[in-house]
Amino acid sequence: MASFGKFRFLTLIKPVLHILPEVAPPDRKIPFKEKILWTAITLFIFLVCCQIPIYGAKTNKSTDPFYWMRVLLASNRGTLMELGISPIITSSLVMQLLAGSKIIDVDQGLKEDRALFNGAQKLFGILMTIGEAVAYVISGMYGDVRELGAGNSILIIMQLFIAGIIVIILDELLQKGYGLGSGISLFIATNICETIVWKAFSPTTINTGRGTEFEGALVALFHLVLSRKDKFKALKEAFYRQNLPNVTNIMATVLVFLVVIYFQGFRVDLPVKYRSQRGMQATYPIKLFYTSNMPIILQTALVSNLYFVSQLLYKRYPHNFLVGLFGKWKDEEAAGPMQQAPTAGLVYYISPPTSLAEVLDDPLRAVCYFAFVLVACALFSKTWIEVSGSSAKDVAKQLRDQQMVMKGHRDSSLAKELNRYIPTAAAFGGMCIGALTVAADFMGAIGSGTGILLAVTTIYQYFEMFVKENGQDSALSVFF
Amino acid sequence: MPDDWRLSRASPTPPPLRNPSQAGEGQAGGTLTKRPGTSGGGGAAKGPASGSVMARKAAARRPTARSGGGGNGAGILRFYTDDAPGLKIGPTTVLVLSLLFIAFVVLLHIWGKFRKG
Repeated sequence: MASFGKFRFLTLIKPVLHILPEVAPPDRKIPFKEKILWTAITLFIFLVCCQIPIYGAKTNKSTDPFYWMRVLLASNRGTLMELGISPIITSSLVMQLLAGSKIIDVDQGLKEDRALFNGAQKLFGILMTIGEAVAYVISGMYGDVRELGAGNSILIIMQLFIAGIIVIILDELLQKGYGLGSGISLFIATNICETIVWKAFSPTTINTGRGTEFEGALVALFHLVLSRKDKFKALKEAFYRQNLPNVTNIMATVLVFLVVIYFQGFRVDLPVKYRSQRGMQATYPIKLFYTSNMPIILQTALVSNLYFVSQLLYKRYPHNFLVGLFGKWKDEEAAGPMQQAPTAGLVYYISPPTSLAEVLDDPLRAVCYFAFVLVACALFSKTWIEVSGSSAKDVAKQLRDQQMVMKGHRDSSLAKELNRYIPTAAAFGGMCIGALTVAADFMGAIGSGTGILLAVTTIYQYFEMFVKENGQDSALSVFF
Repeated sequence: MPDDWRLSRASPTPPPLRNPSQAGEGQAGGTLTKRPGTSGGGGAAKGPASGSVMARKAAARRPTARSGGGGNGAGILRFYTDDAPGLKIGPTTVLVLSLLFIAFVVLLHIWGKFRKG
């Protein structure tokens, strides 16, 4: 219970919440078919927003601080979905950490508190949207502000703002039971699958030095083998070309897919039984990926925000010592249009090395990066079980509420017993996810290791949902 | 999954606490897989009275199993069906408003083209 007289953040924002849009929960059971329909509609709106360019933008040629996590943030350069889901993720990250560290006190057992906390997240998400939109415009992403004029600037901010609200509401729509899963996972997975399919089958031709080549790896494979005289050389080219997606990338992608799906099934089944009915048994599975893709999402959010801040600072004060310590940037021509790569400072050591040569060049950085990803994932994973209410204590309470006890243990030792597994599973699972990501990145999997991991876990969830709906519940658990 | 929600609201633990791994993990922490053989036998032996208890239990348990499959705990922002303050809007309204917004931006583009040309 919140003590009286204590200043509470949540009470402060309460009046504002009344004007926030909120999807009304459905008053009837939505049939599965209709859920699929709503999910498809949501996806359609999202994809259309991904294609419509922003009105009023003069240029798209400025630097792009988010270039390497565009896919993860489900955002598309220069379109209405410029911000993608980054405001939502950032807001959630900040609020969860604030609540987790007890800076704002939330009693997750109180209905009102949960509603307020939820509203606060949404409010903060909307504020983040405005903030990011303004930052984008002012940083000259769409052209010089003086050139744009006040009218156009406001118009751009308005467009980004409304698009951001639409994403939040669409996500809420799906989660409230009109659709399947969550909007965020759906949007990320779609974006990544789009990238993978495009990189594999893209019919765009690009003129390299050695003649015209297709961008899509598989298309290029056939084209090269059929058109070149020296078949062996053609194969080698298709497999190992550097500047465009090649067949090894595709194979790495498939491999990561399979490995992640394989790991999804790793779990410890704890036997539990009902206290009231004898003979009733159940298992409580604790998965290796207990927190699923959450650590990766949070880690990405953290890194992307660090990048953004560091780039902004470096642009403003390139000679400040502290800013330099934080991160130095230089333009990189090879990686694409107007991208920047970190060259020194803290940010450099948490950015992934892009090739084997870079690893050999600076092994310290590679080690730092690897350590950073593992530690961050493990920590986020452990924090997440606390803030999301899936820690040993919560699970024990939940089991007790359902009149269940663990076999061979006394009631009181339930939490202790769970505590042996859950934090370990969370931390180790988070580390595994992190290691998988780094491995996938290193093998050059398309759409980045993080992306594939997110996509696979999301697709797997949808797959499970479909199977469940078809009533093959037990059949699946045999296989996985 | 509206029915799940109504059901789970009755239970003491708030629903979001029940599906820990947010991202809608099907078999995630909150899910309970019943062993088909043992549960059937135990229930049948108890006769009709406990049968209804079982049914109630099963009903109370179902939300756990189902909502674990991606219902509400699915997202990074967890939305609760508890009456949160706010302007209530229906799903159709969301659809219409989004389409209106898209149409508006498209019209802006067209208008911009005309003004230039």
